[in-house]
Amino acid sequence: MNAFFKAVGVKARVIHALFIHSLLAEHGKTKIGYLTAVIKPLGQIIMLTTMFSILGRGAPIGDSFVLFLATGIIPYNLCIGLANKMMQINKSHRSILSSTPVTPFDVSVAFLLSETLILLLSAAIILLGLGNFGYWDHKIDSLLGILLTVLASVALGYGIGLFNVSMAVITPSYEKIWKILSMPLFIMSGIIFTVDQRFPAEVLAILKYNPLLHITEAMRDNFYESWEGTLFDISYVLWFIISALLLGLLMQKITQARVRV
Amino acid sequence: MRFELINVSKIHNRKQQTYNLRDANIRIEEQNGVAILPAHERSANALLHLISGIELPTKGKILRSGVFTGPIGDPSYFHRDLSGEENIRFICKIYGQNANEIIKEVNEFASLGKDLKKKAKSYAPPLRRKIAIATSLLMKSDIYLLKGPLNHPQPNFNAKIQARLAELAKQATFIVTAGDHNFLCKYANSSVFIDAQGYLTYFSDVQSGIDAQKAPTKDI
Repeated sequence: MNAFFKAVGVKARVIHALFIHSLLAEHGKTKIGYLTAVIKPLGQIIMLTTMFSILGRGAPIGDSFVLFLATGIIPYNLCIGLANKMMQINKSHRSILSSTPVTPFDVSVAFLLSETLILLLSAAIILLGLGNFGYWDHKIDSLLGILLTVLASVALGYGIGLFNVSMAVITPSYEKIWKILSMPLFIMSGIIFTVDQRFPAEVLAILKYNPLLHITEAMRDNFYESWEGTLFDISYVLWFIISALLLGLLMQKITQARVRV
Repeated sequence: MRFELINVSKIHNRKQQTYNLRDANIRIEEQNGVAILPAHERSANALLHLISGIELPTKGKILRSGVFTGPIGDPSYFHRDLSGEENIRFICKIYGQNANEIIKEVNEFASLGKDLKKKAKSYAPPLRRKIAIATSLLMKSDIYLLKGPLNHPQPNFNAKIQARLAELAKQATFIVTAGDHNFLCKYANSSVFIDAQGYLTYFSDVQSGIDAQKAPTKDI
């Protein structure tokens, strides 16, 4: 038992070292690296809002379209943004993986922590900014619900990311396939509109299998007091997340010998 | 310190079924340096990687307790966008060393001055190697992995390296691999010969290992 705790201590030390390393290396390249990392989601939101205000569309829920968009984009970035970026970790850490006792699992956990920290920081800045400029009245439905949704989207992103990075080791062309597959997710996850107002029931029955749609719905459900989502199914999301995590960890176990050479 | 390989195999090429190590059993004792004399260079590399934990064995078990740092003077963990100091801090943390102390000592040992604050991409290769050698020589480890005589183009620094190596040889265990037989004899009291199939033979002195390496092998 003593040896077990010692091993956990060593793991934690290595992950801490990698966490700082990845914070410094990921965005330390240029002087405004951290700034752009934090501001990037804000840029997305501003661009989409201007586009839709030119088109003359009102917000589907609440009064401000910006807040509606922010509640969709934050969980999307936490999940798909993380999964996309995790594709590169074995490449960017190749020299460390092949010259120190660091394992791909350590690298992935450290990357998860550092990336989540930056994304949450940017989410906080967006929400505080929206509140400051009067787009948001500082009211939320349930804080616990929001935190759980954030946790769910991070866990889902980590699971998909682990699967992706291991698949990319087996077949490098998977990277291109994932890019094409993940493209319609932005529209299908109901970020720029509420899905049940837009699509007929037949289409909705297919869209329901997208776990990200459930997460966006849950986020808005917990954020707006006046709106209740109809699609959110907690057991489906939970099962999807658990199976994605298990599959990702299994794939990593299979491919880790190849990565470390 | 404890280090033991039990029936360890490390495969080199799965399709051709070639092995770097095959059913290796070896126990490394304290204060008993081992020279590795391989038929193929890759076998020696694989054994060094297994000892420092960089790679895991294909089959078999490794029992270990203690600190085992990587090969001395390997600068490949350097990240180009991090400063030299940050790189040293990172590797110290990975191996559980006291980073502040080692940075101070490296600065003294290699007389670097302001160079440690610069980003690693601005380093010339000799400087990078200098920092890497100084770091790994100053880290406390139970087994030091020595690949070749660690020559450095600067004569002053080279003398310092050899002095530090001689000092370490009194208290630590060395695993040495080099082409120079005199160098091997200096740091090792026993030897291990790995033949072309990956089978490992242990000798209690260096000379018989060298003889085994020189002996003509049967082609299969």
